[in-house]
Amino acid sequence: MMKTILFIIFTVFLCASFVPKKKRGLTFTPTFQRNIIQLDRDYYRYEDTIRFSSLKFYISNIKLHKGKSKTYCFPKRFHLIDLSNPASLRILSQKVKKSNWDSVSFTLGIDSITNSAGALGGDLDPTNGMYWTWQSGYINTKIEGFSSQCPTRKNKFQFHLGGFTFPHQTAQKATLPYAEDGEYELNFSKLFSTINLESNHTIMSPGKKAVDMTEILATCFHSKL
Amino acid sequence: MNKNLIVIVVFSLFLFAFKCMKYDGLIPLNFPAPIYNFEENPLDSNKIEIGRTLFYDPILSKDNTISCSSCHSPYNAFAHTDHDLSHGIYDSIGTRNAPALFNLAWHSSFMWDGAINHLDMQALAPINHAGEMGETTKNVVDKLNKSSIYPVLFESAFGTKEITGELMLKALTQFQLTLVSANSKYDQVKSGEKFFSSKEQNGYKLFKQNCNSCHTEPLFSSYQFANNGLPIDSTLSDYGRKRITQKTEDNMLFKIPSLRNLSYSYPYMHDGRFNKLNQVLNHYTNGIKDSPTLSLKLKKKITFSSNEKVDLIAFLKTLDDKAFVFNPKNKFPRSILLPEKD
Ligand code: HEC
Ligand code: HEC
Repeated sequence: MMKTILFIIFTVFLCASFVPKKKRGLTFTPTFQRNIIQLDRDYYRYEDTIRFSSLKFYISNIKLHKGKSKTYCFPKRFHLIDLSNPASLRILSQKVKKSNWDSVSFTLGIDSITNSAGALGGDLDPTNGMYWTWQSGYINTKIEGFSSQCPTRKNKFQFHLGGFTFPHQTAQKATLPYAEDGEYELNFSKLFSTINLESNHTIMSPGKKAVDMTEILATCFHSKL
Repeated sequence: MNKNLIVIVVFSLFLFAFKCMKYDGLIPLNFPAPIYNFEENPLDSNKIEIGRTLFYDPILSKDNTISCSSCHSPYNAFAHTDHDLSHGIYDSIGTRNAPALFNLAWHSSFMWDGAINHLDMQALAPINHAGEMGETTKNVVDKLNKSSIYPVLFESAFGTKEITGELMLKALTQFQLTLVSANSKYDQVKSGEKFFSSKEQNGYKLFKQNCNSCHTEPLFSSYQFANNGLPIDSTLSDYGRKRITQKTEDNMLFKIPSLRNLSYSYPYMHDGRFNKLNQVLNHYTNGIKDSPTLSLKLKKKITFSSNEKVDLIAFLKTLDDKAFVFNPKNKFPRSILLPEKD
């Protein structure tokens, strides 16, 4: 008897999961000079030519809020957004209904518990190149490229921003008004306007510089106009 | 409905507990609770076997010459005795002595400076180190996926042919978790099977007075960090834990190693500066260098008569675990890596 009940419940759930639902979601688009960034393309500003070769960052714990009481958590907790993989910019979920929400909140980076949890898969798999190897911890944001301002070999800049232990925790919370189309931009022009690439071009380990830059980056999210 | 749910939950918990119980023998009765969370990576004989194969397979290095066992040999309690500093790919010489590997489930951090916070993630360090295995994690995983042996092994153990970084690391961890050393004469004395000689007994007394506060029984390490007064080697300028925390109070602190299996795992200390236990004891009696971070436990001078040194060394030798060092289960998996061709 119990077996039959279980079987029925199971089948109902199974069928329900096959009914197609329109998926909506959020898009996080890295922009520079108001356009989506194209990797390996030259951008000109002032006296400087700037080119991005790699742009990756983690967004985690995305939640939608309505009023004080209603929240919806995206079921998948960690998303690696990688500009070289356009599909990764879009984060989908069935529950994101139009005009239903006031705000969206998320974390730029990976929380400290996950940073100490051992080997994890999917977007957190170490083959994604977002985990330090000589020391434990995720690289929350990786920004690499070239700028004629950098006095480095081949004019390279490399920002590997991470760190999860006190006092250099880099994961940053952000809250944005809910955009009806779910489109958000991450404005790298704004970030780079605060960086003097002549003196600040390489961050490869946790520390104050990584925290400072991530704090600014977390203010560069906007709903797309 | 609710009742059914409870039944299902209880039943799966039972199954789960049963699966964990299979490897209960790995937790010696006289040991404290392990730190590694076995529930996140429940041991399984097939997974352990993959881990052992990976550990001995030079496929993890760029030019297929170096395996984990090149620096961690089973006959040396998984340390390395030919060199003071480890040797890696293209004859590179590292900056530290390869530590012995056993009882890893009880370590709260890894490496001499505690740079790594979880056993699963440790293997990323040698694989990606330019002077150790010179590879990238992605490339190693690609090589494993293309190999003739691994996809089959992973399918039978993990139910998927698709090898990921996560699964590779978890398998390596599984094997390393089975490296438990708890069958030395000391352990047999504790369980009443054997007795200490009078020299060993006196050595045990001296050990408890002078060493146990850091090299704490029964693991023979608290796995905390301490400065035991070694003068700095100016050719290496290794400041230990400070590199990780950037705190001055961590200057020259290193992870306290276990004193089990010392007969097999020489040379000693993070830079392999001592070859003999006598030299180590001379350090503790006459070589301690005072400094602002020297452990308070070593501020008071230790004196041993030459007889006492002999006794203390006799006790330390009761921590050798021959059964562990010669356990065939931990050895090179010949049947997988070098199958007989007929
Ligand atoms: C080139 C030599 C070399 C190779 C190859 C090597 N190791 Fe090591 N291993 C070392 C050295 C040296 C250390 C100490 C490093 C430090 O403290 O910075 C170490 C540390 C460790 C530790 C930490 C032990 C402790 O007590 O903290 C583990 C675990 C370990 N290695 C496992 C492995 C595994 C698994 C592999 C293969 C994927 C491997 N090693 C490959 C030399 C090597
Ligand atoms: C204050 C804590 C402390 C005390 C007390 C202490 N040690 Fe140590 N011991 C350490 C640390 C830390 C290391 C590693 C130092 C390094 O490599 O830089 C170490 C290393 C060793 C090693 C080398 C082990 C290896 O695998 O390389 C031996 C042997 C040793 N100690 C024996 C002793 C003996 C015997 C005593 C008592 C006379 C003693 N220790 C007391 C902290 C301590």
